[in-house]
Amino acid sequence: MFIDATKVKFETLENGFLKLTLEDKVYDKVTLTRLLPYSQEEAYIAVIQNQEEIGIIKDLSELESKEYDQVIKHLNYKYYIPEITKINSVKEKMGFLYINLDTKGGEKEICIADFVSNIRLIKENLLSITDVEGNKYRMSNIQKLDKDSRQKIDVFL
Amino acid sequence: MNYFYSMPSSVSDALHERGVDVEHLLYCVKADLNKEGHYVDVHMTFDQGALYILQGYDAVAQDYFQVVDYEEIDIKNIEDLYIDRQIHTARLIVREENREYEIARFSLGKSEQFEQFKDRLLKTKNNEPIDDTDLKNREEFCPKCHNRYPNRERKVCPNCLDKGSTFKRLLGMYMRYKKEFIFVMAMITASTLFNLITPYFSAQLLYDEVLTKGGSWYGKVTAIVLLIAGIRFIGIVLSAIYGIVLARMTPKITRDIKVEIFSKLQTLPVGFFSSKQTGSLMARVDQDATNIYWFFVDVVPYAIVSIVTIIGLLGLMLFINVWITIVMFTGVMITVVILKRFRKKQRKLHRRKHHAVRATNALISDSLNGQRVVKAFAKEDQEIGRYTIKNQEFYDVSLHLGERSANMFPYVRMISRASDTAVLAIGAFSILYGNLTLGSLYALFSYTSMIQNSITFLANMGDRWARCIDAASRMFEILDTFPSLREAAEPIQRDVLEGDIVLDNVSFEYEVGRPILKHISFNIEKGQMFGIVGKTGAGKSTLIHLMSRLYDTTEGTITIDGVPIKQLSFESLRKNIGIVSQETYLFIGSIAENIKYAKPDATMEEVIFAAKAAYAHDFIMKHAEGYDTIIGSGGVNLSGGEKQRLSIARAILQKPSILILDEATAAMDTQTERKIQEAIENLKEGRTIIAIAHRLSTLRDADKLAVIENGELFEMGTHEELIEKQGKYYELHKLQTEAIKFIEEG
Repeated sequence: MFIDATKVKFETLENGFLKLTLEDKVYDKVTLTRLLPYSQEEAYIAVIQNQEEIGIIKDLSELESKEYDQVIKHLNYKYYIPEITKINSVKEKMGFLYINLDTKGGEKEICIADFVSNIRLIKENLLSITDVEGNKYRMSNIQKLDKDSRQKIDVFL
Repeated sequence: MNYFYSMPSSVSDALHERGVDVEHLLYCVKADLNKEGHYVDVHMTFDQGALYILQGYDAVAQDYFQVVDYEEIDIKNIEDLYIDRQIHTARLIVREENREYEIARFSLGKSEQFEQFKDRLLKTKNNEPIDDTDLKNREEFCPKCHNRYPNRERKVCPNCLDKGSTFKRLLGMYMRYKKEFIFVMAMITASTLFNLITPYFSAQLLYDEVLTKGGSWYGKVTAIVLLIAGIRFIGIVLSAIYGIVLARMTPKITRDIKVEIFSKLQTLPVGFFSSKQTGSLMARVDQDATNIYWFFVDVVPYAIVSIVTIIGLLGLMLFINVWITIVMFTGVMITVVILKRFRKKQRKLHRRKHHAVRATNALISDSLNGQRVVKAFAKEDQEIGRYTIKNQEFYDVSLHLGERSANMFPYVRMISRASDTAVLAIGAFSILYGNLTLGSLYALFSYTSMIQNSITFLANMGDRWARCIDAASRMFEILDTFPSLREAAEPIQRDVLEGDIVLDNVSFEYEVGRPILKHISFNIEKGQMFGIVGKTGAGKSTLIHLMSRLYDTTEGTITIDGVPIKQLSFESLRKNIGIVSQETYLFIGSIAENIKYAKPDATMEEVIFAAKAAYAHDFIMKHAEGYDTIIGSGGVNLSGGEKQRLSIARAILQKPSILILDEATAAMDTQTERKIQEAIENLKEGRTIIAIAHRLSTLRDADKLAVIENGELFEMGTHEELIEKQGKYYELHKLQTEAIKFIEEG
């Protein structure tokens, strides 16, 4: 089940997938999945090819530095979620919330239905917002939001 | 070019500048992310020759598209395209002869559009016909602000919707009772006028003319008292009359609204309910109707009263004394403004308190309902800890609310008292200098209190109006929902369906970007027993939902007896398809009523026969009230197996030509399961049966079996054929056989 991290070699392919060489066996086009994406981002990473699990890397820190960099890059790309930095405005119209927010990727205006279900604190300070199109946005630490932003969103938490 | 969004002219200009013949472009789609995860506008479009990708920034207002990157890909070089769905984003990957690479990255919500876009691109490349019928009725974007409609089934943009039009529409409902409405308004106005003139008689006339020597009414105490009493009495009578009429009229409106909403909810497809919590829907039907009720019984009449009062009183007060009126009015306005701001923040805190209460109650419900599990794992202390935390949140917000109120009101009272004192001082001096009479001063104080109430009411009405409009909008959202799953304009009626079912390239996703079924094709012959097997989450139940048209396919078609199910009437489908699902739902009512739900005019003999066939009769007889036993919420609790047997009895009574059993015997012991299978055997004659089961032994006699894995059709054949194949079915069968052997030997 667990892969020996020291025996692993990754190569990033042009299409963004990884090629894994593990003890002379080559696995083309693998992808990685975090088994604990909220609590342990760099541990328990499943290596998957064609929806079949090849094995699990217990701890990424055991990887060689080159493999580690590739794995982290791949995971960050796969798990990318717009990170909210500021909430500019919140308007309620006909039961929908229109929120203008700043993210690390730029400004965005989103529409949210049923805010009780779609604006949630997943963990103590981890805020998750889902818009009407099913897109998700995250605030990793809601305590770091400025006071204004916090006031605007607090009402809906 | 209509799909999949409206390309701005600035973008088509930019393409034209790069030599693209915009007139011949076929489809366009827009991605919103670059490789680094920054928001950019990536416009993708194609014609017969090439795929064009223009990346940059839309600036619609300035009609200028700032180009960052541009790429053309010869369509002949494209061997394949596919969507790689990640966790929150997805990407479009192109495969050429010797390479594969990403050409677009986008938010997951756009996956469906990109699927359709890439399908059409591939079909164009391969010169295959393209069917855009399903897309024709799609208008996904508001023509004004170009935002997507938040509810695809309701072409209303909350951004652009004129609240006034919602109000007018609501008023329109009110105006169905025009006569009563006019009568009530007339009574309100008359009552208000009487209230306005009362202080003149009880203060000015009494003090200045009756009790003052030389006054025109000096000494006529009895007369003035009778006059005052008479006026007050008339005012009260008028109030009472309009109150009674209003009290009769407004519940009628809310009753009609609630019935209208509930009736509409009954016509909406299953998908509408799965995307919303049932609780929040019920809250809409009840709470929003109540909000509107209070608006019309309380806010609208008193708004009219308040406006009439303010105008009338201001006029009177200014007539009596200008300076005192100005001072009084200023004092009133200051307190109203302060209180309005204060209440705005209080409302937000109340909302938080409301959420805290909900969270606490949810936790209590969760914990108390799961007491068996709590005690089994000895987690009582943990539950207490959880509750304490949630309760603390409630305490914090309650404390904050209380402290704010305690700090605010003395401050407001102080302003009010200061205003009164100033008025008293000015008034006293005015009386001394002969500019004002004592009676007039008393009248002014009475008028101030009346005007303050009216101004406060109007100042706070804005919020109540907004809440009512929001409530009305949410209700109209349901009433206006034009469900995507609806009957054809001229549906085909069939009393009896034979049960020849064909699935052709069927795909489906409940949630955007997460396909459950992918390109499934098979057929079921009439009279066959067809089994569907696969691991949990493979998509088996979804297939059933699609075949019974509880959901519509995202792609592909399903036909029954050669007729696409989208063309068949709902009545034909419901009459001929019986479902026994793993989640049994029994309504509040007697056992007999629940069994008869499928066929209300069934006789008791038929009901008992169906119950016996489903092996439910015995346990029913054990209840003292037999078939009259009340079950469902608040009634007798039945075990999972008992509920399922009632569900089977319901299906047996219905006698459908297509019977679908979704893990129908999952909650039963082996002995009962065998008996049920015998009952089903008896039903098989002339019936198509589609059964899902984890236990392969229950499907052994199926005429054909389909193995579903990860939403795809993996294998198909008879039991013997699949065993011989030694594929997935063989593996599942081996596992189960070994498990049984292990148990028996153990």
